[in-house]
Amino acid sequence: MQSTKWVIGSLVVFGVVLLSPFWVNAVTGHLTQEVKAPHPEAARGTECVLPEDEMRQVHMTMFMHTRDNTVRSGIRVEKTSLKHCQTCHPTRADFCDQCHDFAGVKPECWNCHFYPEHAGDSPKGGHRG
Amino acid sequence: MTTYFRTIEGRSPRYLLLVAILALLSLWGLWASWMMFTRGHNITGMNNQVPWGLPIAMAVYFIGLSAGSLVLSAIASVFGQKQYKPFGRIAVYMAILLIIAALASIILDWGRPDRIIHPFIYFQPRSMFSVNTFLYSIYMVIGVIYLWILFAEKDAWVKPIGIIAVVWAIGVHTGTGMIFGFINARELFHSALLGPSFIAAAASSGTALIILLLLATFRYTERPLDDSLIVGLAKYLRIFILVVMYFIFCENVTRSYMPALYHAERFLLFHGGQYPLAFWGGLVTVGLVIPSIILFHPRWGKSIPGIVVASVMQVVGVLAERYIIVLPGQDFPLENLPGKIIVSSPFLDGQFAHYQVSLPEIAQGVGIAAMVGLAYVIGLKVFALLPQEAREIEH
Amino acid sequence: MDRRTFLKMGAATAVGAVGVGAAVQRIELEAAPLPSDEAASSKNRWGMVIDLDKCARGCTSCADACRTENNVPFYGNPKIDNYWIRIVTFKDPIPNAQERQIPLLCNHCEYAPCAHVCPVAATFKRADGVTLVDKHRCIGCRYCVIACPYKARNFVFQHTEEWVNPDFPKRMHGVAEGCHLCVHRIDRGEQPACVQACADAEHGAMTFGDLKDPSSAVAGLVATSRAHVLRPELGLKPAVYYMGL
Repeated sequence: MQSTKWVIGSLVVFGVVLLSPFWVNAVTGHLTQEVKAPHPEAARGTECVLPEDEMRQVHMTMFMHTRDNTVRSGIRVEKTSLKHCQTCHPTRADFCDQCHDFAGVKPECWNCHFYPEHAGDSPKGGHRG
Repeated sequence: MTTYFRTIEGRSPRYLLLVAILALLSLWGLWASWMMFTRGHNITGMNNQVPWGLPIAMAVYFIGLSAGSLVLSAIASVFGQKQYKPFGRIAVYMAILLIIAALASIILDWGRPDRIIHPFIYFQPRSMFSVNTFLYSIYMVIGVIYLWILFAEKDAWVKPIGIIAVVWAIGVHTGTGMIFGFINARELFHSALLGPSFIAAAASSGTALIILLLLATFRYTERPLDDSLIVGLAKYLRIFILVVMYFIFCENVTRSYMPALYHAERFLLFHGGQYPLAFWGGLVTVGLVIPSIILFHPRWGKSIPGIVVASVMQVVGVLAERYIIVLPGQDFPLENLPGKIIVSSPFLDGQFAHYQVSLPEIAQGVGIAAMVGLAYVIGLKVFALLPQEAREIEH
Repeated sequence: MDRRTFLKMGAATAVGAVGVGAAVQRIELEAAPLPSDEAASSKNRWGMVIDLDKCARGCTSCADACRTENNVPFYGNPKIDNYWIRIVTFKDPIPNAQERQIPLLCNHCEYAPCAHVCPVAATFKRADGVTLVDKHRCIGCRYCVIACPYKARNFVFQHTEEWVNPDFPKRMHGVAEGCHLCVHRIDRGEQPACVQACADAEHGAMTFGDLKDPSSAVAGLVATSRAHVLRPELGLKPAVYYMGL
């Protein structure tokens, strides 16, 4: 059976798909676009819930555990709630989104939970998270 | 007599046209699924009164066809009817494709199919949906192992895997029937017979589908097929049809016997508009009575045109049966205030839902069926599924 | 009447008013706040008694309050509008029966069919008896909507940008939902929004409390045997009772 051409053809297609982040961005001009380093705004307040480096590493799992504790067991600890974060980090655009946009990691929390993107944002209207 | 399996050439314009049409239909279906995911289910005919529409009816239909195909390969390996051995590979291949189609129908119908990993990591033994996730996945693996054994021609292993496959298929079907049978909130769902009747309708519809598929495939690839083999399969088909009739009869007569269920049963059988049409027209007449008459007739039941007509009708009739299982139970209003007359409610309590199937649902169903067809047609070319010829064994 | 007597009467009235007010307050705020770091526990079972004789014809305060408190999606299309509690008008099957109304909501059954059928335990029973949906886990299969005998479950069919209450999340389409007895409020020691609205509207048809606490108002009402559940033959042991049905 003439499988050689199928094999080579499939490998070519696979290679094209695999390398698509590079050539798609090259075609749309994003490859050479300037990327700004993230500048998260300094927090208000004196001390974070956890040390800064630890927070950067574990905040995702912290949110997930908090979420399960709160929803499934009813354990509501004010310190680890989303509302409490806002007391020191009032807006998403100046804090969370700085690193998240840079890393291209978009959490779906803001589809439902309210965290103002800019100062003065109200939940109604405005940019959906 | 050894059977030689050979791939098809797959280069004729007719073949390429078929592939193109099936591919376009598949894309149409996938596009409809994408719309449902991004825009929300409001674009379909489903709503808070009828949360499950055509996609779930198609899903249980595909599951039935899958087990029916598997039964055919089991007839050869488990029940010793060696003349059907040539069809083994196609039967198991179709069983695998159809269970994948069923899973696709279900998962694409979820509101959040991106959370597909959740049923696997949060297993809930009390939920039939959760148990079925486990049953269907392993069924697919069993199918793949069975197909590998057939391709590797490990003849000694065929019977054991065939037995495992048949037993597991019975589990899959009972589980599917119980999705509905366990729900005692709705009169037209709650029934102990739904598991067994699912198996019966699966056997009949699957056999009919394979008969049609074999006839079409052998005809268009111009490979010889002994008519007596198809007549033999039709003999099994007519028995399965009788069993389905028996279950439908028992279930509806039992329901009609309970005064509390008079309204619901009359809705299904007489007043419900599309549902009596689907029941009497689709299931009873087209699906059961006419095929039985044809297949038990001394002449028609042994002729290929007669068998083709009966099989087409069966396949359509069982789709109507799946529709009857899923939809009327939701359309009929829930009796949440028994003994009272509901005058009005903003949430439409006490009202018939008047479900109407929508284009995205049809598109998804057609698309998934087209994907099965596409995988079959391309499979014939890539794998040695089709025997060179299929002859009755000479004694 | 001389001035002393008048002053005495005035003082007595004032004390009496404060006393009655305090007593009323005590009955109102029956739910104690759940302390931080402590999980909900099975020593409570939250329930409700609804007195239909006090449910005023034409009043929809409970349903309106629930919608605004919980950002329940509303599109103006009765087929896909969600209702966590709704007012249903009904009458008895006798000649010249009077039309009455009943608020229908999730009954938070002990043997909740929705929790039984959920394949991922997104719909689950919290230890204190509240049935709620973990929307982070829900896959949107709608089995719970099929299984509920009280038609208390909804599915979010369409995206909405409406966000009436900023202190409560809004919805993304594709998940199931239903009444959760305002767990966010009862954990703070407040009443569910519907019960509070009924009290504020001065009807007092809804009483909320701990069914397992013999001294609570709801336990007292249930013990009178005049409070009944809907569809008792299903054996689901709901936590919502009705009087005057």
